[in-house]
Amino acid sequence: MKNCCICEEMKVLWKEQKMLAEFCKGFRFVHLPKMKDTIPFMLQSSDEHVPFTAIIDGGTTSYFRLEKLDDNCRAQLTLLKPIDFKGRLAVTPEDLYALKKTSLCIHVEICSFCAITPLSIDLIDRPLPIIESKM
Amino acid sequence: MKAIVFIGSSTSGSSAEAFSAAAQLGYAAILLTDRKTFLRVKEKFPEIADIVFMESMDEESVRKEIDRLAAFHHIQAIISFVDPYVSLAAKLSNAFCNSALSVDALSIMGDKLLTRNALRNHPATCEFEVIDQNHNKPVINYPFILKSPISNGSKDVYFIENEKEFDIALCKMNKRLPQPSWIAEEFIEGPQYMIEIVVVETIPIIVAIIQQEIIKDYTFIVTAYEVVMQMDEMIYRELWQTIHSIVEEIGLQHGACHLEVRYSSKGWKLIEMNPRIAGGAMNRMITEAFGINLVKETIKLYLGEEPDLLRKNSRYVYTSFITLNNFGYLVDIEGIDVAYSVPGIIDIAVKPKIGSIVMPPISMGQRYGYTMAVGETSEMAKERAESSARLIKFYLEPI
Repeated sequence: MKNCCICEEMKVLWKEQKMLAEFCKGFRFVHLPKMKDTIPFMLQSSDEHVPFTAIIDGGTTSYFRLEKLDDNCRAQLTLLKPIDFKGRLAVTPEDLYALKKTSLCIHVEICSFCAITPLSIDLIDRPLPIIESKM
Repeated sequence: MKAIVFIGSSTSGSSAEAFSAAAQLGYAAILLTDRKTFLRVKEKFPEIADIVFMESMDEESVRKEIDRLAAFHHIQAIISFVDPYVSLAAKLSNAFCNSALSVDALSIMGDKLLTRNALRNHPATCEFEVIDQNHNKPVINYPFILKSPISNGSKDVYFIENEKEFDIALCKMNKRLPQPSWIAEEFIEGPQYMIEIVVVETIPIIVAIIQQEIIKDYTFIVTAYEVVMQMDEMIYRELWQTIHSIVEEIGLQHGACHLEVRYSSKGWKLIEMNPRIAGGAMNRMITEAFGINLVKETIKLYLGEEPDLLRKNSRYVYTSFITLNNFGYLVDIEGIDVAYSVPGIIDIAVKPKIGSIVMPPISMGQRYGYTMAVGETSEMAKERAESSARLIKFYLEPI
């Protein structure tokens, strides 16, 4: 059984993500605007300052959702598509406005990374801004 | 070096244009302000020789500061283009610079209740009554206008249609800005104009007439300004007579002011008057329309020089203001470059900062920008300004 500190952190993230998904269920008298079931995150490999990146729809993404984590710290990650405030693929981190789940998955060895950067859960499916102009 | 002291200013618009006007006239501009914003954007105003930040702008503190400045500056005039400092500036200018400004008249104009009382018997005065703290029910007929004696920019001005609205508005105003009394005024129907006036040795000169487009909901918001080039001669004569008698009755012998008036079925009616040029885009509009920099000419008047109010050109100018229909955090603004590319556009201003909260207008402060255009006809200037304004997009994240 393989282990490393980043894997320990990933296990906590997995636990919190499950708690988050459970928390939003079962209310009868409380209205929660949107179900939250994802803690988006970025991964950093040990030898570089740039985040780990995967190819998506003619661009790249550094944003992931944890789908599965086995005892050997192998993880299945869903690619999250970064979009800017106009709904286009966000090219730079400064352009990131929202994240959208995709059906694309990758498998990674978590222990080959050195850092994890969790992001706001509100980024997932964040509605695009209203566009207003003079009538 | 000769200097002019300005008491208070906005960071843009007519009052801010005074600094470059002073520099053009060869004076060092010194600004006394209680707005910390000026210290942050100091580099935007290279023409201000000195910015003095003051915690309090009461008369005694301002007087002390001017006393201190007078030791090493040759102060020629003390001027303010913003409420509530216009009459204070004139008073100090008379004291320190031997000018002969009509301080009493300027202070009457700075207070809406004093203005109404001073013009109580004037034919341009509408029906009005004072609502005091005892909350007496108004006798005036509905609908009427309820306003604070010191309101500006349409803040604390309400359109009241029934007793319930009256109670709510009064309660709101008392919470926000307690006043000993409020004014209820007859609602006058008719097109509204802003008249920019300079009074030189008791003779009022109409520098510009600007028609206002107003949306009336719970409050009043001016959404567009148009420089009037022609007016029916009889109506214009009637206007001049009205203004002449108002200025005479108020006692303004030397100074600048603007009046907001409506042309109703009963003739010209005074909505309000202020002892200064209107703020915002007004100076730029008059400059573009007639080649008269009114702020600069007002400074000359206050310096004891003869203002040059001759029209150098005549162009139709229209300014369209942008208001929004939704609440939200401002994420981005787009289209300003495209809006500038519309023919005839001479100025575009967009106010809110990215990240700030924007909302539908409840006062003029919630107008988030404007486009200003010139044209060969009034319709052309209007069409250009409005089509340009429609190209500016505001991206809002709902709250």
